Amino acid sequence: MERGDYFHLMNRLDSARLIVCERSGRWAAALRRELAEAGVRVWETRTLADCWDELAASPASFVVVEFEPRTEALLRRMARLPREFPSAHVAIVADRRWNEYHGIMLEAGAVDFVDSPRKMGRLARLACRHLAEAPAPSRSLTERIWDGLPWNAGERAERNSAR
Amino acid sequence: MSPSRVHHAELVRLLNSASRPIYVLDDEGTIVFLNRVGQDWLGVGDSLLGCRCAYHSSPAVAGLDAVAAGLCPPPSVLAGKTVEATVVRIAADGARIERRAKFLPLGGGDDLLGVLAIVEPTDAPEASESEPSTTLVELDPIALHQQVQRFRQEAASRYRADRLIGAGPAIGRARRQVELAAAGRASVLLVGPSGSGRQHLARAIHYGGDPSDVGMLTPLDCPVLGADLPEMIAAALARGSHSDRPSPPGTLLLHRVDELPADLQVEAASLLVRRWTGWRLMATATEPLAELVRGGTFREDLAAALSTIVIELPPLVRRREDLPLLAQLFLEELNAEGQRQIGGFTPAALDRLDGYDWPGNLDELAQVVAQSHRQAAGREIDVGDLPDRLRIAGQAAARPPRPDETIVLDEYLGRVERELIRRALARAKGNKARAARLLGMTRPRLYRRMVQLGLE
Repeated sequence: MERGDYFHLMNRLDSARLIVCERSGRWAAALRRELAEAGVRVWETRTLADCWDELAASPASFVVVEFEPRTEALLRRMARLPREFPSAHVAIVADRRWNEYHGIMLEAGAVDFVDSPRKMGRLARLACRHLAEAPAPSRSLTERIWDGLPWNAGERAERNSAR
Repeated sequence: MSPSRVHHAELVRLLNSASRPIYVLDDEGTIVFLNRVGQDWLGVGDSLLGCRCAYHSSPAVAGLDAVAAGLCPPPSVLAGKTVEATVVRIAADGARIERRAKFLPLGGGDDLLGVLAIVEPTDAPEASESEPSTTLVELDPIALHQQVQRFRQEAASRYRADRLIGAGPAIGRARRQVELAAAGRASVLLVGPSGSGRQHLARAIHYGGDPSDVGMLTPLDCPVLGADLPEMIAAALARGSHSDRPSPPGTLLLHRVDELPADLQVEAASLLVRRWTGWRLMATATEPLAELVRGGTFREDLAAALSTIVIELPPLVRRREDLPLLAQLFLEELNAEGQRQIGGFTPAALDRLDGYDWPGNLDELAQVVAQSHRQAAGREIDVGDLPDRLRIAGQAAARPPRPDETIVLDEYLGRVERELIRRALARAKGNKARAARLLGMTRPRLYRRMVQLGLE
């Protein structure tokens, strides 16, 4: 699939995901703990290239990237983000020793910079707000009424976790 | 002459006799000494003395602060470590010329007096332009420093007000206001529809300011940050005042500020309006905040604090005459990025662009151009290279509008009711008593409705 054709892709059902790009999986695990009740699924990638491929498939995603040495590649991708994926947001997670770069990463376009897996609460809230804002697939009136029924909360959570 | 002046003169003579550039920064990053070889290398004489080198200058903007920004040391020097890193000189043609340098802290920690920098006498080999591998490996602080330094330079040149090309009076007014805004530190509100380039222009105003007065830019997306916004504002203000080296107060960019709920407006006002922060405020919105104030949905004090200069950006559909120029601008940006060179658009392709309504504004135009740039096989983008949706939208617009379709409400509601009963029965595994409970009706009534709706 060609990257960047955002407006075409917005018609796809799966336009927004929560994607984490990191080496070890510890940030994704911490995020999953925070999001357990919301039932939001976390998609993991290990390289920036894979992460951006996922983003191309789901162009309104919330992307969490671990601060990494090839920052230039990340900064370059972030600079292109508003044009390629205007509905996506990127947040940075990093070891505390990289706090010096907190401001730079926000300036580059990150919505948040978190320096410990124990402080993922705010990031989880941001991700939920972003996903709630993402364009939902158009549904019939019956679907919408059905989804609003109180005994369908379980099914809603299941559908959210599948996103 | 006093002995101390003799020693000082001797020290200066010694450093000036070196065959490589040497400079000294004080603990605030201000250049307090630059030897003669350094002055010759940079081509600035001794006028660089007193300039501050920090990431937060705009190195791509011409001027002494731009030169100073290229000499910025890695942050770890300030923690007392001796490190090697790269310093940068921007040539007259804009090319980056790099040299390795050794940075020695004078003192350390709380007692840091300054930094001594000894630069290699020859330029480093030219760096590869290709994007490095994106496999995650161990962090190298010095490489990181260089990357951040390069980012600062590129950011300043990437965000320019040239997207404001066009002939219409609205764009002409916006262009003048952007120039006015970049020349000062007044608050700026950028009003326009989504995709109209509000954030891009906010950055252009920030980076286009006086290099010695450009602090850090902190964009905050109000709807996404939601209830966490006050904490993020407070953290940004604190970061500005507690960094290792004092830097000019930065710019706070509140994106989509018109979507802030009332309670958060109160908190934002208490942080930004009722006390002096020194930070420049910028914001984006889809309509002028003054109108929201009149409608009672936005705080007057916050609106006033954010709206000293109000720049209105019209939707793309209201400036169709600018489409060819804008499309060509985006095309040139893509040509500049890579090997693929496309000359322009055929008249038929431009007609197709003109016939579309552009709900996504400039962002959508940029994406259409990018997609067509990839698609094009010839020297120009032709109508066949454009995305199909532009053709479909054109055909739909050419057809006469269909008369409104009507429904029979009872039949329509009956279909909805039938589907909900069917689903409730499926959920109750066919048990009518349980399905009736789910639907809040008696079992006989459910049975009657099933018969009436043809479900039994």
